[in-house]
Amino acid sequence: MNQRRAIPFNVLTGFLGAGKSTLLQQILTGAAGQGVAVLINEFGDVPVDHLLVDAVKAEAVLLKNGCVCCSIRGELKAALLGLLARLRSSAVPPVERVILETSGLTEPATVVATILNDPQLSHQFQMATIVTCIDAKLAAMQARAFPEWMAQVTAAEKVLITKADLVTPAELLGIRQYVQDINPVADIFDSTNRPQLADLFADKLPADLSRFAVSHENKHGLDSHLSEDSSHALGSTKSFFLEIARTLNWERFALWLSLLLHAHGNKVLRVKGVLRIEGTDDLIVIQGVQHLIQPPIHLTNRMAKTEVSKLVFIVRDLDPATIRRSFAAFGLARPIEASASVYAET
Amino acid sequence: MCAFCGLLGDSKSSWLEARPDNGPARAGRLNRIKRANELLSLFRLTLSDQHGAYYVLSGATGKTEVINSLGEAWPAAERILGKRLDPLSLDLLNRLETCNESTKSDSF
Repeated sequence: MNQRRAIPFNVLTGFLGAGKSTLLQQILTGAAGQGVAVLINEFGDVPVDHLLVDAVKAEAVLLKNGCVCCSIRGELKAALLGLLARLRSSAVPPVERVILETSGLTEPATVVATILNDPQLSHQFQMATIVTCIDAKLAAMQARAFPEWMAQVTAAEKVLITKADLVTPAELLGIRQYVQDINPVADIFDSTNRPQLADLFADKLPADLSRFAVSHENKHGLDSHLSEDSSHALGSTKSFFLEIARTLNWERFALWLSLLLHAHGNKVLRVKGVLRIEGTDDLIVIQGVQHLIQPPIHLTNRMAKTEVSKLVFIVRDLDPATIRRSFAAFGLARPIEASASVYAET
Repeated sequence: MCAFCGLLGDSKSSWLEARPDNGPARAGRLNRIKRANELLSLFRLTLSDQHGAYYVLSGATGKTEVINSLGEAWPAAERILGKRLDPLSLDLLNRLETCNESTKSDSF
């Protein structure tokens, strides 16, 4: 096979009825859909979604039905390897991007695990943006009732609020703020903006990550927002920043984070950070979903400037103050006290 | 397998190879071991290199485990120590903070 870069692999997820297939239909119609292969994982006996998307993308591959948590890994691997075989034999046009539409009950970590942990897939595909659709009308109820909903939102790099025209502007604003509280690093769109493919599925370019590196000041508003009402609404899920004023030793940091994820990976829903590391002027970006950390990305100082290392955690049933304390106790320098956390500690 | 296997443990790590301070692979590996030992020593564990191919993790009682990458260090450490390791354990944090205070340093 010709030498080429790994194919970006996007995940489109969202709870049942959130509008994933409709979104795919809209954004893949026309020129934007060229070079995009779509995989669909259905849950249920009638693959309606497949029919909808298949009308748009002939090369869509339907993964057999079943619960993703227990069955998708093998099927997803087989589907992706099948796609590669078809590409090699020129049975399908060149593919620039693969989008997996998950079932509504999927926890994205299982998909990320499949890509990162399989040697064949990890060489051929590169994890790209995870996009989560949420239903504006049902978001509040689903957030309370379904842990899958929360896992999908916390794993997302982009969140699209669908059916936004069915709620009032005030309600929409509340939903946006609610999602931002849960996942401070996600970009949030709503269906009234009609986001395009590039808006939602574009690669995690350094420019995008550099925005995260310099945008922390914009997040300070959450300090006051994440209190009382909202923290109650978030239940046991909390997001918080660690900000460290000096460079970090990578090995020490990685071992600490590795130990944290080893012990509590199922409770660390998301981690994302821009780090200053000893021995390099580059910024290092890390991000992960639960216990899965994606290969770090280098940002040169031309792309982003920050004098501090910043880490965002989204955790469930863990005390941010204890994580901060552990970070310092393991010799990773003490986080900046004044602005380190958006979590309203009581 | 831990997510950091690919980042810490082998020459296939594009991340470590890309580090501008990386010298020869062997020197980089030994430096990683030195840094890792700074932290592992908190648990009275020692990591050593074996022919540049794998690692040996040793406990204070002489128990050892062969691991392929640093990502496998913590499960091996728990087997050596015979207990679960929790970086958020208040007992552990109290001990580490006392140690840090006695050395008048919060870093290494």
